[in-house]
Amino acid sequence: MALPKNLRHGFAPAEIEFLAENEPITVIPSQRMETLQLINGSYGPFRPPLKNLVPLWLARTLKRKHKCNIVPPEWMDVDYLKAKLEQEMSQIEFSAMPFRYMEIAHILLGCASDDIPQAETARTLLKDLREARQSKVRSGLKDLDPHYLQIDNLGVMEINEIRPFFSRAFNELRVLTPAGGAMGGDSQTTMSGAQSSMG
Amino acid sequence: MSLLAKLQPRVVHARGFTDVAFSPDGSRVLSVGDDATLRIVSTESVRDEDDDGLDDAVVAAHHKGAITCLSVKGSYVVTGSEDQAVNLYDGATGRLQTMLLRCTLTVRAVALRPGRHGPHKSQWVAIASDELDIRLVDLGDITNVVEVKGHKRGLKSLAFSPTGDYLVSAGCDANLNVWDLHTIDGKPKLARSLGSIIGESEPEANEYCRIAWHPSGKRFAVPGKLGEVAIIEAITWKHIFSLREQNRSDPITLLAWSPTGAYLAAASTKGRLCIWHPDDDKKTPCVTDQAHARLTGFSWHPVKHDLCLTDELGRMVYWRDAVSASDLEKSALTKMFDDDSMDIDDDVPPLPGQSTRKANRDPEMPSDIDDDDETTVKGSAGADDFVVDDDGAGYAGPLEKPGELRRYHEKGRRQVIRDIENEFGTSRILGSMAAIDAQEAFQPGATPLKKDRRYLAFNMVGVIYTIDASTHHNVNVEFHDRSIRPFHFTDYHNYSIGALASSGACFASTGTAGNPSKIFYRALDTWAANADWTIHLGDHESVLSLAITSKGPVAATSNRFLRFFSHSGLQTFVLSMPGRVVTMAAQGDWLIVIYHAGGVYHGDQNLAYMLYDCKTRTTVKKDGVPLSAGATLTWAGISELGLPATYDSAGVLRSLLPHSDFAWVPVLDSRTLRGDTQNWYWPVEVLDATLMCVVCKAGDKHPGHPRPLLTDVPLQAPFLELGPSHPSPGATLTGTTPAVPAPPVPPAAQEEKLFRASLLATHLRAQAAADGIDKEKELVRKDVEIDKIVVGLVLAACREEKVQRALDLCNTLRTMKAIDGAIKIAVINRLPALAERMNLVKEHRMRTAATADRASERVRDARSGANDFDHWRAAEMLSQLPSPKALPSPRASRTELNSLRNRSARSTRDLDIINPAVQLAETEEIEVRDVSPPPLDPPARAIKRGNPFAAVPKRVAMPKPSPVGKASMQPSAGSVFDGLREATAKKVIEDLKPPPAKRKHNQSTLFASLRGKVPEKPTEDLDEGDEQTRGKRRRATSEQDNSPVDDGDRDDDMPLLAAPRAAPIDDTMLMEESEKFGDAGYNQQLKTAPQRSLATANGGKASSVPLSRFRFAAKSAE
Repeated sequence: MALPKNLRHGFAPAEIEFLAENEPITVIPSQRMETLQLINGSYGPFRPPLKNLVPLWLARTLKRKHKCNIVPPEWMDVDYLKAKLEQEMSQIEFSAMPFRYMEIAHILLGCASDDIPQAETARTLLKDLREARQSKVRSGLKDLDPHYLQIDNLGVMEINEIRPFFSRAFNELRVLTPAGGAMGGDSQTTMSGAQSSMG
Repeated sequence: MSLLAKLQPRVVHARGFTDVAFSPDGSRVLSVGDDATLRIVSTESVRDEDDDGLDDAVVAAHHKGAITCLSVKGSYVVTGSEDQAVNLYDGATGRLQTMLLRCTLTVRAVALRPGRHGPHKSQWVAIASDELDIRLVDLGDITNVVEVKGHKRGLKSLAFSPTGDYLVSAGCDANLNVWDLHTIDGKPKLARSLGSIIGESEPEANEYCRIAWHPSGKRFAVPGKLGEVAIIEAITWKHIFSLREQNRSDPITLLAWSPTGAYLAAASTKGRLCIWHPDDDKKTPCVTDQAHARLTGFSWHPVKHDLCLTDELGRMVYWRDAVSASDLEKSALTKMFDDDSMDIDDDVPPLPGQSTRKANRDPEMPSDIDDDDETTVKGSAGADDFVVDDDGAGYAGPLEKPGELRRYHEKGRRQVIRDIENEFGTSRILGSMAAIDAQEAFQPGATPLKKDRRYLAFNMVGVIYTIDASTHHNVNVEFHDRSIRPFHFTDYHNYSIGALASSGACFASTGTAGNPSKIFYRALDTWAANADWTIHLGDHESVLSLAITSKGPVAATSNRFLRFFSHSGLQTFVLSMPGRVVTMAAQGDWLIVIYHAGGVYHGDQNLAYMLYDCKTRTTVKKDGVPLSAGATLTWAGISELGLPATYDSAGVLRSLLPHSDFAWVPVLDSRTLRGDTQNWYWPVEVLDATLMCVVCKAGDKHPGHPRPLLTDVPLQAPFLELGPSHPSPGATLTGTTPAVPAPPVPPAAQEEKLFRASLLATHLRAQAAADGIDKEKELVRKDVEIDKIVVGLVLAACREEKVQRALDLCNTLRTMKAIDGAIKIAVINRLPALAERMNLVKEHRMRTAATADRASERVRDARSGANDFDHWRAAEMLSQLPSPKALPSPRASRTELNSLRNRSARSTRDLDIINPAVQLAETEEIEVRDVSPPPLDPPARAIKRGNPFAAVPKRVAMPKPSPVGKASMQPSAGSVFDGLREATAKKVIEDLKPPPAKRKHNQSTLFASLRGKVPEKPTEDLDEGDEQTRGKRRRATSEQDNSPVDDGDRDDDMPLLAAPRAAPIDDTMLMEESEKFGDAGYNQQLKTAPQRSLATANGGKASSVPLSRFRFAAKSAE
């Protein structure tokens, strides 16, 4: 692969963010526009104040041109995030967040913070949530064994963060474990299965 | 001859000032006089002239000076006297309870404040004397006195609004002050000081200036200058109009509204008594009379139109039926009275909750409502709360059996009240009492004044709101589409009605004394520089409602006129309405006007609508407007699709479907949606599947400022067993995860969806036909969506083994593809009998389609230029037809052609239009079976989307009856043939475009297996057909070698051949493919595919099939 070394182990955060830009999001257009004929589909017609579902990248573009307001997803509500954070702190499991919550939140807070009620609080809460989850991931490292690994509800960005280390450590452990053979093959498939579902 | 003179007066007091009042239930009459006594006598003794019951009078003489004023509320009686004392009596016994206050000067007015917590709880009394301050004394604790400072001279009178929110005081300095008693700190605040309405006078003159509040609390009357009566609107405190008799200028001293609020009695200093009906006539009173002496006091009976008058000579007159009330009005009163007496005399122990009702509905508290109602009461446009006019309570049946009729009334009314009670809880009862009265005009999307702002219009174009700056208003117009520039202007005319459309904004002010009503229009999309215009209405005409149509604004006025203007201000049309207009809404050319068709009946508004086409100036429809029990209309609009909709105060949204028999369909019942929450959905616009609305929280019923975001609430007709209601928007956050798997949808929800979708589809189809726009593609897409729902329901029905239901559903399917799906479902669920019947449905559908198609085909063929691109099918048929000889049909005459030019009428309607004789002749020749009417009659839409090759394989699925004899070979041969052909046809499709995996499902094998298992019973409908057609079939078989262009033969094999052309079938596929390839590509495909498939088929063992056409097709393919 001709990729630079730092990209060989997985996606760069910017790449993941790019992928997340395809997620649909609701916008309220502030100007009347006809249907936008684009390569990957047509969006609109936009008739304020009716809501439209568009990909995030389009929403961001329109927002920059002051042609729409973005309706933040409901999980970006401050109360909801507080509840989530509470849950995250009290449970061992990861609380269920949307698969691409970090990227979406990052994009939205970057371009449409005026559309998000209490954007700053939401930002802080998201940061707290992320740190809580990161620390959980780190503590989960202790339990790493060569046979089986299951982590539910991880976001793609979080998976991506731990992927190089985990897969490496996994393989190393497998080599070290005397059982080898079938066992190793097993864990390999598990991991690859997980990866395919992640990607 | 004066009626008053005929009545026999009786002397009850010494000469001098006297005043009179009724007890709240009307059973006793209280009077005070200069002889310092309070007398309480029973009403009967005063009323019945022969009975001199004055001996039973309770006389209380505790004052030491002449009593100047009297106020009665509940069981309290308060008197003020020249001895400067204010006494509190018990109304029932006449016992002195306490002396409330001793002033330093003569007491001029006392007023008991209507209680906010029922009559027996703590109340306040306002006392005015020649001192400058008003004192509010707490009856519960008389040391608790609030002083209200503000007047510069002595006071003449006081009056509390019926809700107790406002106190109006009239001073000798000609100031009329309005005090707001609902301030946070409890200190009354001066809400408005009105100068120059009442005249100036000396305190010593002891000139009366009785202020009378309308029972609705919406306005009050006050004696003005020069013998006029000024009516002042609450909240805005504007002088809205005056009542004045011509050529009379004696000052008015006393005023009193009748208990229903329809009549206003006024007495002048010269003893002239006038009774006005302000809603009818503001120039001449309906009753005038001259008393012997100057009248000093009068009072209406609380539930009758009886007046009790006292004069300067200390005499009392009881005037029964002072107003020759119409029968209607009387019955309204009877009802009110009956309810009260029912509650009082009831022997039955009161039900739980009834006691509160009693308390609340005591007649002396006509608007004693709880705090949460305050906002609605304050609102001037809170249409559900106000009494305006009650001239006509609905019915005038002769009271043959008074008892029965009364019971009937009671029952009807009680039911209504109970309903309302269930809905709002007991506290709302009195708000709903107002529903006895016909509701006032309102503007959809307008809100009452909240703080200093109100919306005049709120719709999908934008909002108009006005800010009250006391001397003037600031009107702001904002648009949702921010590319349109918002504008604002300063308004000195008090515009209170507004309408906004993309073409312009229209404003109107209501007429007040001296200020005639005006209309101001500002065009938005205009090139002209000065396109605004203003127009003034006459003195006696006032705008009630506005709407903007495509042709310009329309105003409904109090003269029951609809005035049409052009965008540039030309007056284009005037129309008289049969009733007072309640509201209007417009969209495009359509205008809906909702008006009172009659009085209130059993607490129900009697509204009617008129749907009007402004372009053609024709009435589309006039009919009644349905409302929930006891509810009032709160919103009306026409959606962009052209569906008028209404929303009532119970929260039910109804749509009028012009193409489904003008049915009003409840499309949303927000009561089920709201549940226990305090949310209220304030409608803005109805879209095809959602209601755009503002969700008002915490008991509020109108949106506030800043402008709230719109929420879309999915429509849901009130079907039964819909399961748990939708989580209300905004409450969705309570779910633990955003990705909660959706609970299984109950079938009722699907049924409901189907119901709405098919209504909408009917509407769209009819609309497209009416507009002459070909939207076939869209409509087909809708059909496919509907069919998806139906197939879902079929699945549910099959799982529950409700076979009849599944079959019913199958009958409603619109596309052949969906019928196939249904059949598959039946097979998979092991319901062979059902599958068989479904096949019959399909067979019938194909045949109908074939007939219809052939008819239209003939016509199209005759217009030989049928290869219009849109008519791809025609082109495709031409390519398929054997020879040009078969093309023209002499039977389709030219006129028929013309009638068929309309492309959208290509469906079954063609059949109707064509000369029935022609049709009959054809059908006879085809097969007699076809003449029999379909079991259920779905329109044969299939012909619109013929998929010529897909139909052929489908025929295999039809379980043929197994006839005996020679004909028996036909089906079996056909099925073998068809089976083969199906395979090849499928193959062709796959070659052209690999279909998705699910479509590869080989249906023929399924059916082959099915047929092996199921003994086939010939069904009746096929049987009888068989009897008659067997002969023909035989003929067809024998003639198989004839030339294909032979007329008879052509007709004969038509069903089999036409079916494939027409029936078709695969709509989703069609859609997808046409999307992929574009129409042209698809047509190409269609043209080639059948021939190829036929050719392949013929290459097999199809040669024995008695269908000459196939042979021909094979030839042509070679």
